[in-house]
Amino acid sequence: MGGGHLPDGGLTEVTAPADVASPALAMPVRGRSTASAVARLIAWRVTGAVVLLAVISVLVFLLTYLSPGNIIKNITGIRPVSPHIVAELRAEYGLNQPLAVQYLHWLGRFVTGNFGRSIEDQTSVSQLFSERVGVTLLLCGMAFALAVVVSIPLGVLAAVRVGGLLDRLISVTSVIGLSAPAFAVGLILLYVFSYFLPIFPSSGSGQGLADTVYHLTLPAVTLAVGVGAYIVRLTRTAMTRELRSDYVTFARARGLGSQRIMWTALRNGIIPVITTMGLVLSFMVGSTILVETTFTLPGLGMLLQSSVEYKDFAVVQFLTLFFATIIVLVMLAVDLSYLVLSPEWRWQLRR
Amino acid sequence: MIVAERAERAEVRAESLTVTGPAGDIVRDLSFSIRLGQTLGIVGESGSGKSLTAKAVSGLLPAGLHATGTVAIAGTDVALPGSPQAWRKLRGAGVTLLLQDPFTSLSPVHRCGDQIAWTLQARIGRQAKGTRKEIRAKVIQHLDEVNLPAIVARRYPGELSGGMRQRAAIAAALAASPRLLIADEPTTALDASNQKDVLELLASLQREHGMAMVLISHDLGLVRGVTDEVLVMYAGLAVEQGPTAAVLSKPVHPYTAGLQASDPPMDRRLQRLIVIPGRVPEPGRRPAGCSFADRCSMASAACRRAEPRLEPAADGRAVACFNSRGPIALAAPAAVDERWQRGDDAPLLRAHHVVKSFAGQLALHGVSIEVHNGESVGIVGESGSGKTTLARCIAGLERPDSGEILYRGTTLTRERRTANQIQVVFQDPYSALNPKMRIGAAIAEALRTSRSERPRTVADLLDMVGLPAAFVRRYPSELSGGERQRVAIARSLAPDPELLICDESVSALDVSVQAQILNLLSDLRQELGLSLLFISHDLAVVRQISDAIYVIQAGRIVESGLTRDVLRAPRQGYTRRLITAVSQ
Repeated sequence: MGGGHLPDGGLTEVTAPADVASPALAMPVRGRSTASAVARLIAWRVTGAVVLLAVISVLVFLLTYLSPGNIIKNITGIRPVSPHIVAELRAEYGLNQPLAVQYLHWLGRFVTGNFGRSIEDQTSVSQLFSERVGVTLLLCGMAFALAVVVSIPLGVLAAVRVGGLLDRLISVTSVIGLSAPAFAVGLILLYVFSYFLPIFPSSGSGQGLADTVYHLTLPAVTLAVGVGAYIVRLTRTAMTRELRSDYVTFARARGLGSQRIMWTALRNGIIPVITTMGLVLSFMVGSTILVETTFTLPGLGMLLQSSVEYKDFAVVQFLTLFFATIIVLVMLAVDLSYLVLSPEWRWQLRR
Repeated sequence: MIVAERAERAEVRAESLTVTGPAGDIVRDLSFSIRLGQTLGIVGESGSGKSLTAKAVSGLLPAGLHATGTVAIAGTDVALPGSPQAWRKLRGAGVTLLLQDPFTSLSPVHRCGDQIAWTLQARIGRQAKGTRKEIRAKVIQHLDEVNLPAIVARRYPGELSGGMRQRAAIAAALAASPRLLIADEPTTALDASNQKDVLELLASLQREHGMAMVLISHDLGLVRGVTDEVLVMYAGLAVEQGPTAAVLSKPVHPYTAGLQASDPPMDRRLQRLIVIPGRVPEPGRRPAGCSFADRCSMASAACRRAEPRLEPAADGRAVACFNSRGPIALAAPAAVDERWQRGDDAPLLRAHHVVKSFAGQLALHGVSIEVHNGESVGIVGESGSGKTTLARCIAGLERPDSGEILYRGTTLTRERRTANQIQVVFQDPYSALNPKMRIGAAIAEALRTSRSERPRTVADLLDMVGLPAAFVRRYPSELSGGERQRVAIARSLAPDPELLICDESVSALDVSVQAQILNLLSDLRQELGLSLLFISHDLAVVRQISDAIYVIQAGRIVESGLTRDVLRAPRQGYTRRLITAVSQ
């Protein structure tokens, strides 16, 4: 029975009921299916993050081998060493074993919290890290908060006045902010606010929270400039698009207040801004090194910079993996934030 | 005095409404008035200025456009363009605009109930928190009014079908209790059966609320049933205006008559559809004299010298035409004999028990169809019925889960395709062409896939689809919708196909242009011996082009046969519903 019954006007296949009630009220069912779909999604994304971290850990481990020069030379520096010492060092660092075994040992130590010792000054990596992590976290936190609080309103303002003088001013400023390297901004701020107008200290991280925040103000502003400029541009683009959309026209047509309309558009426009936060954060990690060096702040960035200089592999490996983990976690959080931000996403999961 | 004031308060007026853009006037000197409780239809092709009229009357013109004239809504006058403060007061309870596309007119990340509640809050002001319960109750009441269950308040727009979204949007609009509701093509984006429901709903709500309504549409049939007065717009100007019954049944202006005549009938197939040749001139490129003269069969020398103004004519209407004095007798083109016999030859295309599912949901439940050499076969159904999925399977754009698709007796697989023999013309001529590529290059690109021994040339193809050769240097943005669809057809003809799949290829076009394209497809079928697989939701269109049809519902063929027989005596309730939805 095919489709060849046409000329006599016969039915090809009458499998459907003759009259089906209007499907207009058929609603997608919510409930457990959504919950399990969300759980599946989370499990899937977490697995992905773990796999990604595993791959990064291999690369980080191989850093020692991929970098130019001999490992033993790197450890011993320019001092002359006897073959006997070299052999001892090889044994101590496990360099005689196959690469895979070395990796597994290294990973095993890492997972159990033994991150090794700094070759440079023989203190444990975890001690070095805990001494310096506070400054960097506070610096990044301040810079991020500053960037968000200033940039999102500026981006929205530019979008509202799109094409106007204010928009052009904000756009030009953000291009400058985006293209100025962090150390240059830092040096200018240093010159203006600690040399010319000595309001802020030029270096050091201070004692106690209030003093630390005071010391970190200029560095945080420096770090916030680039990130903030980026967020301004993102917000402006997203909001310009949202403000031109039909739902905004329809909201205006219904007589809704401009405040309500702005919040509605922002709630829609913020989604792409949040999606790129992963990128913003990796940008920040890179800039921290420059900013900490400029302001001589004893943070992770400076530690990373000096460790690379001295080929202090244990420290470099740990810090690289630490920053990578943070970025992967932020990416994961951004992915999952979609579940909260976009209802479309939530119910499309069921399909 | 008091009487005059009362009359003033009971009507909506627009006087000398003009909208000016960078290229010139888009809407010119338009005036109309509607009493509360009445409906005015504004009709015309795309580019006639209908939507901008709506936006100007609600103070929502996009940046770069400027309006002049006066709008008076129930006693409040605004001299256009009007200050933001004046409009803020008037929008909502004064005038509300309902948009065409229900898929974009509500914020996707807010629940429908909240969005309706915002309208209420904007109207009554944000009062004490005690009223939250009342607002919720009112939201449910507004949903009930548009025949939606209370649960919709908790739903996001994306969870609703198109028809339900448009109802939710209507509820949100009416929550403002407007004196004037402007509905801009409110049913164009909906399925046929939804169209009728939504239109009837709007009409009944308009009566219940005693609002004035402006219904904007390109579809004369749609305006006929529900409006009291009608205003026919062409190139920004009112060309005929008056009581709906008089204007639409006895049109005086040649443009109104042309629009009427190009609307295809469902009860017979015409030898040839009547068309209005050419296209609506753009602002700034309008000819001297009457803007319609270039497309008009009655045009005389006088029409090129001066522009006719609206003058009173028969049955209380006004017409802007020098030559037409009385009603134009609508030509009744000869109907053709649709008797047709499928040959005994092997089918050109045979789809056998095609099953296709997306993420576990069956879209096609074992569909079988046949197309013989030289036939035109229609597939009709609503959106979501699976008709496009079937077309995509046949075109090799989707791989069926099971079942066979045979072309000239050979099974088509992804590896063994006959791409050149089967070509597709899609619905949207705007996204089908690369905007950065000149027309000539776009067609030449398609020609490179041709394996024919005597390949066609770009000029041949342009000539085949009735476009001047000079179009090779144009960009898609310089073309009208109809011209773009012609280019899309030219591209699909480049590899010399035997079977053309037209997936809703005329549904995005104006009626007059739709008729042009349908005629073109008939001609091509005759000249080239093409077979057509014509997919549409519009039974009147299918009647004009297809010898046989398959009716598809929820992934199953529920009825099939000769087009004439199925439309004359449908056996299935679903088919009957589709028919009544069109012939409202």
